[in-house]
Amino acid sequence: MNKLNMNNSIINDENNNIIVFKDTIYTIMNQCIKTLNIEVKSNCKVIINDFRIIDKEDTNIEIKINSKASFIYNHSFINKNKYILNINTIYKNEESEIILNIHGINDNGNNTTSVNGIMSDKKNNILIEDIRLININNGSGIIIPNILVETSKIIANHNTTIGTVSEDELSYLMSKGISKIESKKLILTGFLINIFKDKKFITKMKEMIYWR
Amino acid sequence: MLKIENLNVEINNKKILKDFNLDIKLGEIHGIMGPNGIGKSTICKTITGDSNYLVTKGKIIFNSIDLLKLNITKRAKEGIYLVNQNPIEIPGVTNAEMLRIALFEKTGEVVNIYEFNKKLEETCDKLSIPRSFIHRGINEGMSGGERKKNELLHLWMLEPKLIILDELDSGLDVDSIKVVCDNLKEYYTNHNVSILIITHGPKLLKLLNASHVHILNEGKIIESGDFNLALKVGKEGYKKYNKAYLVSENEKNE
Repeated sequence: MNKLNMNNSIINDENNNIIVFKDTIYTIMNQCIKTLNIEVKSNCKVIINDFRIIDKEDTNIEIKINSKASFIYNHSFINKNKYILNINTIYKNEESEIILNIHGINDNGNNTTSVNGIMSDKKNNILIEDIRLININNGSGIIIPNILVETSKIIANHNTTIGTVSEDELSYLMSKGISKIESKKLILTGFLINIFKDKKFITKMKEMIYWR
Repeated sequence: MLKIENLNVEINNKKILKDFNLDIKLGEIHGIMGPNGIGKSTICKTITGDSNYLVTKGKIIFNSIDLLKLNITKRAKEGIYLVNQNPIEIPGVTNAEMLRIALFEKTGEVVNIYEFNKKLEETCDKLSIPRSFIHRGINEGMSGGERKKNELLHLWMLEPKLIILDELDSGLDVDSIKVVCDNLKEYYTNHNVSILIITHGPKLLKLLNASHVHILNEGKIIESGDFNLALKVGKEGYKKYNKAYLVSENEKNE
């Protein structure tokens, strides 16, 4: 089991059971994560920036969130074989938010991403899912939204797209004098880095992206 | 510089241009006017090489090169540059990154970063846009006016020979139109180029001192003249070029 690097605001054990008491930003850089059980305590804000190049991996993430807490998961990946990502959301109290920004490229790989959970009558909870997959070189992907919403007192947004490289974007870059292959590389790299703000993290990512 | 002969273009099996002709010499500024949906943007897209537009007949010759044999990239490298009506966003790809690659592909030489950055900063200042645009995603989160200015930032860096402006004034406020047109005139003065302006009305043609004006109707140019033609259309509208109107006028005369 891969263990995450953590700072002293987090308690963990060998199974990546983590309880967060303070505002924390994590980075996961090309690290295999099979299980991550994270509980965000009240009034805490947690951001996880996660980039991985995947050969064969199953990842199960469980997020427990307490009142007025915020959890943002920014995850991009290049999947070269098989990747199953399961995310379970548990809202323990009111006025909390979970934001999932996931951008994946299935480069001859197959991906299934599912987000599960129940949003019951606890007030003012928010779930925002933005999951986008680009399939290249016979890659394929499935996105499964599995959120049961039992109340009108919450916000649950589920935005997903699965497609290939945009022809409009390709034409635009080619019209600036860039070859089709270089244009495609630019678009794919931009797609992967676009959900992150940390410049150091982006620089590291760019070093790892093999088509650059 | 650009000679279009008997060009016929279809999109989704619909004929848009029919025996379209145009001749732009080096240093000339031409304007093509016409109402909405008449095929003005088709001219731009066909010249630049958009594969959605099928050329069924005719020629496009640019500086003695048969453009129809070249793809979009090669046409751009020859010096053709389109300022789109609605420039799209490319999330995560910065202006600087795109321009550095475009210049490398054009010249085959690694860009001198110091000179490159200096020119980018100077151009931002000229265009009254923040220097932070240099490292922003292409057109990402920008307003319509900012996107047009961003396209001019690319233009100054890539130094094209033929500039095609598709509805440049759409999305621009009064002040921005002036900044953009002054900037284009400066580029025109300092470079040996031609400009093709696609527009609805005479305003942009006046601001850019268009010397040749053409009216597009039924897929071809039906009248050409100097700037006075644009003024006339601005005053009278396109009604007189409407087929139904022409038939009724003929019937009256009979």
